[in-house]
Amino acid sequence: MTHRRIAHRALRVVAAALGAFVVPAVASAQAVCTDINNVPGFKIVLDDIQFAAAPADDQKVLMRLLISQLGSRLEDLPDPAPSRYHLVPCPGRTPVGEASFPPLTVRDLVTRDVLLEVWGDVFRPSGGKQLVAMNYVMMPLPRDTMNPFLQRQYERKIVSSPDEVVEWLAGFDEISAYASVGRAIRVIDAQGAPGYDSAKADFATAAQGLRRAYGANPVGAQKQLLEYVDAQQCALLRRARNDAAYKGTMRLLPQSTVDRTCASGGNQ
Amino acid sequence: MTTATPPAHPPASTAPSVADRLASIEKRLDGLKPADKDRWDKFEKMSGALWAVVTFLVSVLVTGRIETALKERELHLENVKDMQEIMVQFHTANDQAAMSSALALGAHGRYAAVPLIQELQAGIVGHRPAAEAGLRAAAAIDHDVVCQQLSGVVGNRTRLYQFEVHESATRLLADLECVRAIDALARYKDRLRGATPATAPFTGVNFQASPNDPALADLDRVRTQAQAALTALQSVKDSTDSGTLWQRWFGGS
Repeated sequence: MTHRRIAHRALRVVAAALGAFVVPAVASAQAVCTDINNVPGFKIVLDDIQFAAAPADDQKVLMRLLISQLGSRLEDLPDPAPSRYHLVPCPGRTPVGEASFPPLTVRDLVTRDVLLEVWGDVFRPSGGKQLVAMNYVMMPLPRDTMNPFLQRQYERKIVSSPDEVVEWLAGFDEISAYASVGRAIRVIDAQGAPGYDSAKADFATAAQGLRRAYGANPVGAQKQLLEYVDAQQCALLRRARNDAAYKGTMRLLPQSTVDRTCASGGNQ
Repeated sequence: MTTATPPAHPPASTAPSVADRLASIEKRLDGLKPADKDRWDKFEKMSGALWAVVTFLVSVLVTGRIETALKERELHLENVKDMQEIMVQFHTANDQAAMSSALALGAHGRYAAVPLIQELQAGIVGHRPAAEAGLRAAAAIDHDVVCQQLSGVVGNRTRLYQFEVHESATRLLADLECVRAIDALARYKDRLRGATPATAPFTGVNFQASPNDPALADLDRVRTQAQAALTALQSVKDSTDSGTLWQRWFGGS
């Protein structure tokens, strides 16, 4: 028997073992999000938010409620139709942190115009407080200069019903702010000069939304993101002034205004 | 009355002696004996046995081939049955489970190549690293068949696959050192050089769009990948060739 045959048989045994034991075990929590391929335009992917206090049936109802409210809110944003955000729910999908986003997967998400992926946990109320942990992955933020993974914890002092928590989650400014950053970068890359004005508006909206969400003293990754957005705004102003293909109002800005704007946004 | 007297001696020149006549008869008899057997006679004599042997060998060969073909077919069906459940699990698995399923599929060797390529075609985000890993595993068993299937992807001109399948196929051709695919890859690179999103040999990934052309950035990605793969394979081939030359001159393994 040749080595190849022995290897073949050994691998078949491994395959059988994997098929029989490993695959059914890990596949029990299956979730595939095919809508990412089918929904056109810019997307915000909403994975499972785990409500620890809610039974399984209520969990589904709460997710449906969140999808409905958040979807409506995003639809109501004053964006032109082609660049509107579309909420893509991915029930059952729960990433396990950065390991779930290898470069190839991130690139595939970017190809499909996904701007943001969100998932999280709503913990049981304890000691008169309720803890909520949310995870965000922003695309296409360059990993070498900016960490696209953000985790935030929120503490609600008033313990409320799950419906109220859903309403509160759906009203998050951060979600659209993170998505705006991604959309601005994407529009500049894809359209060039014709996209500068909408990108500028997106950066400005994002900066406002993030400052509002982070408060007066942003920490670590929050501060880094704010600085990144300011730097991008500044770079866009300079690019617009020097790009002959661009015919909009940013081209007419005096250099002093650009310098002042850049200086106020983190000395970029 | 006269009486005839017999001659005292018969004439010596006309009557052969008995001994001579006997010798002559024996000589004639020897001439009537069959000559020694030539090769044709031997072959003729052996042909019966020879035909039996040839018939036996041919029947063994044909039967062996038929049996092998039938066994191959049975094995194929067995593998398909074996893989069916894993394919379903893979298609519906989350990212972590997808890797296990893909490796289990890959262990089926040549039979897994097409299902894994089809999984790439499905374009499920998070499944691509798994499908690529599965194809690498399959190539560890049936290298040439997997290389051939991947060459088929880049050789396709009918937009059968979306651009990510092409990108993965070109990457894998290089990773798996499919040196025989160099010519196909060179032709592919030439074809991509003049292609536009509308004339590219692959579609985009937005399956609901019509027409589902790839973006210019996607086309550029595949071009870059094809060039990188071709360069890598060429260098593998060059090093293999130079190794052979070395062995030819200096021997050794």
